[in-house]
Amino acid sequence: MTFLRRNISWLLLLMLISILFPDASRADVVKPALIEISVNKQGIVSIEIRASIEALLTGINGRYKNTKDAPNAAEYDRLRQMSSEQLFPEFKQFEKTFLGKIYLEDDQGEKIPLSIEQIKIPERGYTKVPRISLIKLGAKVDLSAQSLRWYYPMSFGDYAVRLRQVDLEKQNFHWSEWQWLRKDAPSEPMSLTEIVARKPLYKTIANYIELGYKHILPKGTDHILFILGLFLFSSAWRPLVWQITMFTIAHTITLGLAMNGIFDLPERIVQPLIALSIVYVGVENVLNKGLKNSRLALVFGFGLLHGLGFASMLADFGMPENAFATALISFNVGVELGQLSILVGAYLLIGLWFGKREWYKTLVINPASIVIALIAFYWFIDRLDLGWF
Amino acid sequence: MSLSFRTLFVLGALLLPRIALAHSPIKGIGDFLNGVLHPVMAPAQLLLIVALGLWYGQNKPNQHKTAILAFLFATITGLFVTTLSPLSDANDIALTLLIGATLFGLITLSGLSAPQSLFMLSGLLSGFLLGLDSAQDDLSGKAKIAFMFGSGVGVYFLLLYAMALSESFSVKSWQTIAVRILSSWISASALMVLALQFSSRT
Repeated sequence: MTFLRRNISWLLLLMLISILFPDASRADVVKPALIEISVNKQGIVSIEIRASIEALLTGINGRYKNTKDAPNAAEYDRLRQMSSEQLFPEFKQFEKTFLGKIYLEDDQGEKIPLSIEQIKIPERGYTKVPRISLIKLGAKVDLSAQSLRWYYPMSFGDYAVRLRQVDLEKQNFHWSEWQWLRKDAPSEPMSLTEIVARKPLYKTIANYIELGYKHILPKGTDHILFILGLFLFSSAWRPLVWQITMFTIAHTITLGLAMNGIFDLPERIVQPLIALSIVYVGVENVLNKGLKNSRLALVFGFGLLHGLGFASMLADFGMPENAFATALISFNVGVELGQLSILVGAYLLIGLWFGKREWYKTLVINPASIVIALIAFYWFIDRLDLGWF
Repeated sequence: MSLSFRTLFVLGALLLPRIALAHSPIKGIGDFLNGVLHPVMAPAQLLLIVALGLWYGQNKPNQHKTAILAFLFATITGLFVTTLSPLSDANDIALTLLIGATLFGLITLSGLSAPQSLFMLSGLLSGFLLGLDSAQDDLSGKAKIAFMFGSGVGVYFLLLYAMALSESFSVKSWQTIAVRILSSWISASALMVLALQFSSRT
């Protein structure tokens, strides 16, 4: 009650801000398209593109961290609300443009004609994450072709492409490594006649560390707020180290389990709970009287949830088949480095200056924690997908 | 013309054009960080916040704690008001901020003890004016919200930094003298910019 009396005025004002400015915390992240090309011995090509048709139709691509940042965000939201039957004719009108902008070419520079064979649009589902549709293309490649290059314009967004290669000696199929393209250029040639040399291990490690790091900084606003919430709990290192350790152990467990297909929860459940965990951390920071085992247990529980969030993001990017464990560990290392960067930054900007001050709790911890809790509370309501915002 | 006066004159002349450019964003760092840096890039805001922080820091926390919360409340209100109804002439606000910086600098310089109500009033007025002065009419939608939010964070934390610095320099007598000298320079700089502003108007 004392807390409420002391802080009620600006608590109300901040709530008002959060109500008036709802767009400030939307998180419909634009995801890259995943493209898989299979070529059989007769030269029949099958291409599977997994992408958001809504994003393709509205031109929302990787330039936007969030669909809400794009000028035609309203149109995206309108399409995202459609059922699969309603969206299908919208894409049919766009089909010709789509085919006109992408191409597959062989090593002679010949463009291979492509045709759309199938379009699978899932039902509306949880609208707070992009709906990933499947566009299946067909083509016929000359048997003399040695390699293929794929082009997908930057206006359609970032993408990753891989090709199923044929091992003639062993009569096996092998997937090439994923090629990540973030520029308006065709992919590197993908060989049709030999097993492409595996990417060096250090490159896989570097790629996945970068991926994990970027998932936290700057893309993971919710994780940033959660870590800041843990930091603000106490200016002493011991409680912070305990909390971060519990969080790290927990998210590593669920990340590993989910990526191995052992355990997972739908995003519809995970995302609101992640938001709620941030609300809890913010509120408890204000009410806290010291580190208790119950707080550590809760942080551990929240870590399990956040791990599932990391897993859903990592699943979107795909994992290398022969370096699964390496990629998983590297991603986790990247996440830890991201967390560490936030903690170091917070210590240099906040802890070092104010940590020992008499007014640290009243003037720093309480206002910052309440702002964090309010933003997260808005996310929680938004992610429940009740159609209020 | 003494060396100090010449230095002040140069400082004032250097600060003057920044008033006009106070709202120019830095490209490539995003709207939120531009908002955070806004009080540092706007000299009138910088002078006022530092002057206020130095003054608060020289007093006991129980005297200014409520005033700082009032400052935060008023800043948010000012940001709100300017978002809903942008001001026609932000330059007048900047001049008021400079007057405030001069006054707070002089109070610190004098070392006089102030009543609780003055702390409260200074926090409320300064916060509200700083909020009003953080308008960014060139932006709209989410970019504007990010900028305004960043401005609020920047203004508040800049005050806390100045206050923490001043508090650390309040133990020994030479430290308090150093803070007084700094405050006098802030007052003088603000006064100089004010004089140049008025002379350029006439």
